[in-house]
Amino acid sequence: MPDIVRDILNDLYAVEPTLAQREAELIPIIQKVLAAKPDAHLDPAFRDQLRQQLVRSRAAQTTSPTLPLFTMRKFSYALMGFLVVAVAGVGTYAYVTRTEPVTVATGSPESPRISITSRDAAAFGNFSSNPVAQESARLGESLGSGGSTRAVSDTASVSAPTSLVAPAPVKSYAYVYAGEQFTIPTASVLKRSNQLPSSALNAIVQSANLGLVDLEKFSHLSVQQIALAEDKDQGYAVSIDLRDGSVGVFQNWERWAQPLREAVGNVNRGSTLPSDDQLIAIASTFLDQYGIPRDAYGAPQVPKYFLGYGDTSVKTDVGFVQSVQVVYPLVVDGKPVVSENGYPMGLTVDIDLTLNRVTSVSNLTSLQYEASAYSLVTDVATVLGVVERGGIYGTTVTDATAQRVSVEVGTPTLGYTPSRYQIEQTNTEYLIPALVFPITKAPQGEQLYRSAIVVPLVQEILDQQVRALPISGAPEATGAAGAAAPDASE
Amino acid sequence: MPNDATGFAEVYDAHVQKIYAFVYYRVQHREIAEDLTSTTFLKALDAYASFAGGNVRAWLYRIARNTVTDHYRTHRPPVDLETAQDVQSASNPAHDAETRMQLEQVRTELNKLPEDQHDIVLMRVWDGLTHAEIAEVLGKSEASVKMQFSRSVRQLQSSLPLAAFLLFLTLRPYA
Repeated sequence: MPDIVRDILNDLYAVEPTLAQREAELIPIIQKVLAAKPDAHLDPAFRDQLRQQLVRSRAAQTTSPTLPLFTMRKFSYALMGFLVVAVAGVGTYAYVTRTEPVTVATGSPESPRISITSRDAAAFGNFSSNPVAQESARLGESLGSGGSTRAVSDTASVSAPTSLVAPAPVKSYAYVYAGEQFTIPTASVLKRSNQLPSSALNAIVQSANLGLVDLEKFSHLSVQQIALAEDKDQGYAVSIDLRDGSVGVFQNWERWAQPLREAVGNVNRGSTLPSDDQLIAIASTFLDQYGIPRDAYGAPQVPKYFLGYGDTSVKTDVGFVQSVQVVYPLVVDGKPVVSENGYPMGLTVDIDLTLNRVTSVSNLTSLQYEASAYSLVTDVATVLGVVERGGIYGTTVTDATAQRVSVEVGTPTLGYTPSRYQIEQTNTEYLIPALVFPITKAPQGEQLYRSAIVVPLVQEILDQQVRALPISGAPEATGAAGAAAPDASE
Repeated sequence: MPNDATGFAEVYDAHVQKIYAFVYYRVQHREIAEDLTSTTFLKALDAYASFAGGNVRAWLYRIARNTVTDHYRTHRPPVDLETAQDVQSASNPAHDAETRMQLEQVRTELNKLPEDQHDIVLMRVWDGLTHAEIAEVLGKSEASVKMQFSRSVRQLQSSLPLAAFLLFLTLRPYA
């Protein structure tokens, strides 16, 4: 008796033991129905073809070429435009061919929750030797060392200005640590899991014939971006990046009247801004109205980036302020997420003060993370060296004519700072554990564009960034972060 | 790092036949089954880097089950069992008609089961998943799955003619 017949008999007896008495009757029936069994035979050609496709997909995931920014943007816009048409077309298609509503299950209505999944140590690859970090370092070089006026670097043409406008005075910012003794804590690097669910959308798009092209002819199409717009006055546009796991809401410009500043008047100086409570009420009402959950974020704040840090007397002289932001801070694993300048980051709502309306919502992303341990810097002196030069994007000015500005920073707290890194050709956002040194004291009238010095703690990032930084008037730094950190008191 | 490309290739080789069968038994159409099998593995590939570990077979079946559910949600209703015979090459028309009739009886009785029990029976009998794996796919306890399976099969056995019940049992992928 074939094994398969015996297996079936055993299954039968497990369900109904009395059937064993009828085995002689059962065996021919089983053999008969086995002969008629629907065959779920897998076509070997299909099996091999799918295998090859998966290999190619895997290769594309890890080695997608980096296109020039302009090309990428054009492609992105073209794709988004195409998808607007596609989604509209598919909607029409669905409407005329179905009698029941199409369910697009792109997420549950419940509030987003932050989740962190542990991975092996160093699971995200090597953070050093990546182009994004190097580009950031060059950007940091051009930004100077933290003040609102010009600071020199070895690439700044201080000695031979070509403009007829007198250059701003050169300042050398020295950040002095005035906090308590501290130790460096441990923390993991977090990687945001990007993808939003798209299978239902994929299924709709895959079956659409738009007239211009029959999408059914393509294989394994997936929706990557969607652009939608409210077709009404002062409507909003929604941009959904399913691969990046992000959603943006902004003005549908075609349907917004743009009042001229002159018509509104130059009224929105720092002293006459709406109160924080008023601004927060506008933002929160908008988020609630459009079903954007905010329960995963902290209490909203209104950072006054434009006011800078320092004497409040300067705050009535900030000129025209057209928009302000309300930030719902993101706190992950108990640690605040801050920008490289120390400002809280999270769900961000832009409000136009001339209209008293929300104009955009940004930083609305998936909140699922993976965590992986990396070697962190352990030497406090190394960290303080980076602080004294103004962070990893700071420089040390050795120009003898520069005006020295001393800024005090206080005891640090542990936070995360977001940064995009290109590892294995994949550009992804990571939350890097960092010490946040708050600025506690600055000279009267001095306006800084930052509220803290933020020092990422991952050793290889620190090594990479500090090595890339030039020091004005000093030999190029080499080696580890500690060796590169200059003495700010020079 | 366990979730690498080589690892996924091994996962594919080990499970593609059974996942295809899982899908095929539910859509009963070869081309649709191939499409949904492709979708299942592409989704799995995308998610593999974040797969937290555990029973990869149950994980794949969960993706396949969701893919089939999405298919029915956005496409046409399940193919009739008569149409399902399109991949068979039965040479005896009378025999074929008898099998179709039995399959129809099986489907009728299966559809009388509550949805959860229906899924449990199919996964246990047709797909050969263990109770523990079914529990993982459905997010239920193993004890609950066992109890529901036993209850469902007894119900089928009592309501189906013996030949039809045997046909139902032979649909499982013994190979």
